[in-house]
Amino acid sequence: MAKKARPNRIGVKGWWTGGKYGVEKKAYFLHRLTGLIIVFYLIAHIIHQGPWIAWWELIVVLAFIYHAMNGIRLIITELGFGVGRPTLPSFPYVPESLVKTRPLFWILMAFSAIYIVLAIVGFAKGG
Amino acid sequence: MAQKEIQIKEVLSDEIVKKVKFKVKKFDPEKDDKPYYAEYDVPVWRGMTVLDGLLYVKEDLDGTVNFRYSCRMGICGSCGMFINGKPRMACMTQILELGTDVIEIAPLPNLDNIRDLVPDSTPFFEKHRKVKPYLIRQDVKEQENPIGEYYQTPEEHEYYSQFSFCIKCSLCYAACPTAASDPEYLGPQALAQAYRYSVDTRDEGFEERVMVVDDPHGCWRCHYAGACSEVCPKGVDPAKAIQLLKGLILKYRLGLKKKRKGAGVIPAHPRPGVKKAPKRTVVQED
Amino acid sequence: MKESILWLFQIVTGILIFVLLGLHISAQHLGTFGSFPDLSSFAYKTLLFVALYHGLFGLRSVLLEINLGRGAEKAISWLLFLGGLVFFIYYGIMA
Repeated sequence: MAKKARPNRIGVKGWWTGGKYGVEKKAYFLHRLTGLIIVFYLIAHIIHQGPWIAWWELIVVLAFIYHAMNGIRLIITELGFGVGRPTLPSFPYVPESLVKTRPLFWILMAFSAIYIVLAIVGFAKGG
Repeated sequence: MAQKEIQIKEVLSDEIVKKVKFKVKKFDPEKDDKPYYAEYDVPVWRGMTVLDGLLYVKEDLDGTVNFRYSCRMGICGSCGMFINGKPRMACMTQILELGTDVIEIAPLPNLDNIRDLVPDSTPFFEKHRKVKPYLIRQDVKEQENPIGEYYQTPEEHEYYSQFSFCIKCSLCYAACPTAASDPEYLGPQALAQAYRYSVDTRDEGFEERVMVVDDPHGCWRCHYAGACSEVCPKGVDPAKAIQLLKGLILKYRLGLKKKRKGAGVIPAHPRPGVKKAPKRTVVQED
Repeated sequence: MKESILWLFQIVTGILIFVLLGLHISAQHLGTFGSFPDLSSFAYKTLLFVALYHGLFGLRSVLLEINLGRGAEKAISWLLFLGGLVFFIYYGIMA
């Protein structure tokens, strides 16, 4: 009698591993990670409003900047804007939904880089 | 003319241009506790695909290597494998284009591994079936006993034709990070097909499909990682379809989607200037 | 409630957080770059509400994707909803 097949689902690890994919998948994982950081901070911050000195508050601010910027892209694309209309694919096919939204991603990442610099400078000065 | 002939000869020559090592993930549930890699030296000629390489291994080196394939030309969707870090069709992947001396081949992840390179696609097909991937009509009687075709303009055909190239190879499902951790998630393929049928002007089953798709494990579990579109061998771009589907469902829930009746039937007869077709010679018996 | 409507709230709250928390953080931490007025009490309560919704719904999204089973997922959804509500009432309205 044949034995059962071997389970082969990658699991949670597949959020950041599981193959060579484009920048969107990295953004996906980072969005999730920063989101979790922020939500746990949020709860702690509401219960206890500490001063702006702990280095992990800077991490949360950086996480928030990324999460907000990438969030803008997700709101636009996930509502179906900017991903392109259905077309007849010609080969080699370059996924239209990705190449069309990638410039937006990099522009937003440039913005978040600026904000991150501002935040770090503010952090260093404000102490 | 002469130049063209030379080119064809060069392309078709079976001259061996390279040797590569195939690292094939093997697993036999009746013998092995764990999968392991077996290595084979494969001579490569121009135009040789990974599937050709595996067939060479099976014929000349090791007959126990198991893999699934059928058409060898990217139509049937059987030979999806995890090749060099990406889900790819073995028959559509040129060894020389991969450019590596070692080619690592494993079964597609996110589906159970039956044996060696063979995944169990049953759950994947079940998800496809769940989204009702067929035309739904209110007038079932007419649909069962058709008297003619439905109207559809070429422009209306373009709403969905890209997504109708899907060959159910499950590469997108193997690439999807959400499918990696959530077995209940419908997956890129099924969701893309839900959109494909929902925007077909001949279809009247959008509401029924929304019931399936607007679910905690439906289209809202997609967060646009884009891996599905990157691996799709047929240019279906499931990520595009899913985002369009999300927009469509939201529009529908907010009452902004225009209600439409499915396209009407083109009357078979009489059509001006066209002679009546002869009677059927084969009669279907119930 | 329908998953699509919950997700729409997620987007709306996301935009509100972007505006409100941007102002809040600027007022709190960017004093070196000029003076920013802080949020009014009502705006602060709104921020608290939308931030809780956005955060807890996001957390639920992650939890829905780690294969806990439909029963556990329902329980988690209710737990997060009620927990968030109690939290908002305690820290937002009573405080």
